[in-house]
Amino acid sequence: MPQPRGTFRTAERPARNFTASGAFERVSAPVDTEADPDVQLMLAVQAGNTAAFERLFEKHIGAVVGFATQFVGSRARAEELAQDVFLQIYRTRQRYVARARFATWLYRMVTNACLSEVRRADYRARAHSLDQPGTRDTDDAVPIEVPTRSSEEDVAGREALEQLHTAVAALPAQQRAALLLARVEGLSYEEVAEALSCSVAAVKSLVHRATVTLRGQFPEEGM
Amino acid sequence: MSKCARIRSELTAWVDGELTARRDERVQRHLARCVACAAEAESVRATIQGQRRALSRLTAVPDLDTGPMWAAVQRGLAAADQPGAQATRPAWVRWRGELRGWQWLWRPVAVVGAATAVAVVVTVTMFGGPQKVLVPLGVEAPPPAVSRAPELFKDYPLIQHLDALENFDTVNAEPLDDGQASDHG
Repeated sequence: MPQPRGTFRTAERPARNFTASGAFERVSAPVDTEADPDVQLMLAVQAGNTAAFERLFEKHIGAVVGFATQFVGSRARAEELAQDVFLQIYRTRQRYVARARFATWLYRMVTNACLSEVRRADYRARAHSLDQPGTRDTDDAVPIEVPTRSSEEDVAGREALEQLHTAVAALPAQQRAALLLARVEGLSYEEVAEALSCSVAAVKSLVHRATVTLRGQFPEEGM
Repeated sequence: MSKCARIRSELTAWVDGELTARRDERVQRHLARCVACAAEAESVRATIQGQRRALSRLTAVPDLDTGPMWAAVQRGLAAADQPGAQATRPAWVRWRGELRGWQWLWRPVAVVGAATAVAVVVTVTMFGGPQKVLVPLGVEAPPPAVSRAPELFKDYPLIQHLDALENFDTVNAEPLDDGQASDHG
């Protein structure tokens, strides 16, 4: 079964600045790849160890599917996309260089796949609306599928989650990717920048804008 | 942008611990003496904590059945390992692989070609090469009579493209008789 989030963070990464008076340390310190167990697994995969690949798959597949669902809208499509990403990882394993955490490399591939899918979806939606003028408002949006929750979950919580899903889906794809990578997958801004192939300053701006936009809709702890 | 506005625009990165040590210190110093910004920082911190929790819930997939997915990945790996898999790949992927195999050959050729192109562009730009070889295409030499005594023809209007009728629209011909002109017209 997939492990819970946060397992990507290595021990040497300092905690986020959650106390206003807390001492600050820059997060984007050089990463000791030898301390990242995923890097060791990936190096084993490079050497042809299929069991190591299966362990990587089991560890990350849940997070990848959850991330991809926020882009492709459909859980089934997100699962297909996640499978494709892992196939790509195995096929390109010889090109892997252990210079950063494995999560950075993984999410670079995942993000590329998701953004490509979004662009394709946009293109299809535009082409469809041109074919059938007047149906854009109803057909243009990617179908939203909120993850299935347990039966104990209260209705109010479910509604809040659906609203949050809608708000996240309305963010521009780059902002959405930066926000999810930083907030959920625990990547530093520098790692997000590598995943999105942009500068750290751009990531800072993307995360800030996404945070402010969501804050306007879900102020404070009401999320 | 005022000092407070500048500090507030950095609060997200500050809470995320993503500022440089110098900027972080500057933010902390400002927050220590600005009550409004300190309150805003607390609000941003609470917002980010809330977003972190909510987004984690949103992207969680606790009911994911990884068994069939792993089986599908294994099938994909087996298909990729089969001898015929090379042929099923798109042609451009195979050509790209072939090109990569010949990098030792075409890379030097590409470098020499690029250097030659740059040298040609620089030479032409600096020494004005094309200016000297421009040929005045479409300009005919004047008739011999004009060449011999050009001062005799300097007051004559030049009518070009005599084969086009609209070039004669500007010739003002006074009608000899309005009645005749209308009859002919």
